[in-house]
Amino acid sequence: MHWQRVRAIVRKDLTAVRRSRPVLVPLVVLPLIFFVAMPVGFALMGRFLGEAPDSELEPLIRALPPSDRAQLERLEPGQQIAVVLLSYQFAPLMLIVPLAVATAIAADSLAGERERRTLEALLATPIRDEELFFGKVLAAALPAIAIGWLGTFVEVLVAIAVTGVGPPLLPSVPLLILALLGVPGVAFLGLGAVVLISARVRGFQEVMQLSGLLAMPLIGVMVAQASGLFLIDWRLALLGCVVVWAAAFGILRAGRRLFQREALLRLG
Amino acid sequence: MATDTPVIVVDRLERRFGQTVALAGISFQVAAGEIVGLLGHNGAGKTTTIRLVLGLLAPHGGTVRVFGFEPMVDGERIRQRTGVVGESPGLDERLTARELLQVFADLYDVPRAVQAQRIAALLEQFGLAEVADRRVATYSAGMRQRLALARCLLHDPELLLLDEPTATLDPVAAHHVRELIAERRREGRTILLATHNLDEAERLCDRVVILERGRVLVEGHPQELAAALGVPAQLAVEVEPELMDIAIDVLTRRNLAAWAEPEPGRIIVERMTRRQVPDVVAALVGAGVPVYGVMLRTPSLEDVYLALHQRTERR
Repeated sequence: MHWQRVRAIVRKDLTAVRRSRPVLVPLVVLPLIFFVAMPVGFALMGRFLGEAPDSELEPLIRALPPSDRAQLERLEPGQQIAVVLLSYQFAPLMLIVPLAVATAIAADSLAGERERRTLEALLATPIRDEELFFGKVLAAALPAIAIGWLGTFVEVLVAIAVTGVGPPLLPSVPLLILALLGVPGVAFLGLGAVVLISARVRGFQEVMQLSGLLAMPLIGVMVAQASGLFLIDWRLALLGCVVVWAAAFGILRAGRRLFQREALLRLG
Repeated sequence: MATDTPVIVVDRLERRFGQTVALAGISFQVAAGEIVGLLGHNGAGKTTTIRLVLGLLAPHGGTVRVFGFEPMVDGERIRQRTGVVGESPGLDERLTARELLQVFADLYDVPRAVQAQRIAALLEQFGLAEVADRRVATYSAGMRQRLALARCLLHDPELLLLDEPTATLDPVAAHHVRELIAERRREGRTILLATHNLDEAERLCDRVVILERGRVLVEGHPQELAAALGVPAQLAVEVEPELMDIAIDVLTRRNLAAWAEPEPGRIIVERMTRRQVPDVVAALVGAGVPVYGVMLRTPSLEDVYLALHQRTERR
């Protein structure tokens, strides 16, 4: 592996993304919504509903691990709502951000590169297929993971500042597990899916639309929690991360096999 | 400048795309220091040949050797010694010229210690130094193609593969790019130039390989090809304008195909050989038609190409 070549691909793709408004806008707007607006909104919601706790929230509180429940019951009703929403119910939703960042950059870097007819110039250089693949993966994964981790950190700080609640309820253990393991997992899963989709679909927009479907399971988990089916505790969070990592590994392996010069050219 | 050592050896090369035969067993060689034109219509197989030479596509039959290596096995080694410019320059418009050249210098394994110096020299040489820190999106088509040429020289390659490098350019930009290619030729680099611009091929190439529907129709120097294929020359005769009708009549009676050009007093006589010129002049003068000038137009590559094309169409 020639690291100079891999670094060149990462540098090129990140410079290009920084100057591409269609790619950059969601990369800025989504973290602001999920990591700043959402915690502030939930905290305010808690204050509004605090005097009359929503009865729909009570099954969720009952589903909490006993130790967390005991600590939660010591809080004001408004704080309880904010903690349940942020640390448990909507915790998986923040994974949408690294997923969206990874898929947007990967789609621009693969399908976009082909659409702009710049891919063949790269393929004409001595770079090996695996170096190009690795460079493209890193260019999409690194910002996605960085934004995911930094965003969670900001989210937790904002939530603590607004609700006045701190550890171990905010951040909760499941939230920490999802942030530390889930963020890189969904980032790799997302870009692995983009590699597979890009091998069959030509345009950047088509790849983005199809890869948007990857967010559906996360929304499904959130809906299932809201309907009282289950509440993510540390075991479920860990299991979820293992599943995501396994899926990401499998998809990336399949993507790597498809990532051959001739196959890339055929769609070009 | 050219030596006998072949840099590229293509032997009975075949390639299909589904049911479409792109190359049906073509063979040719390119010697070191030689500039060879790959001519043909769109779809003749020029780009496919270049991609096979570079190891971007696998052959379905026959062999390619570049520097003695097989592209599908040692593609990396071949690409390290080869510079490529495609019909589309393939430049990421969001980068500046300098950034782009830095990226490709890394991809071509140019040592970091010499990168800045080499990039500055190329930007200067290709007239892009002043706009080096502007994004490529702001460049004209000619500037982009010059940047693509600069990019392909970053690693000082021995072989250049140029695929329709002037196809999308206006005449001035195309002329500038041709001059840059001619300079590379003078440097002694081996060049395979795919083009459908016959004038370009005639001016730049030592030899041409004419492709049609994935087959080599003919190869050789344009003038040799004209002679070998019996492509006739034209004779332009300048006579007194008032006597043009008489002149055409005299020539027609001698079974020569003559016609008047729009320019007053100019007659074109088709299918002429050098030996016939004195007879034509003598016949006209003998008939009382003063001849002010004659010029034998040797067949151009375009004439050769059209003659070949007509032959294949008739088959």
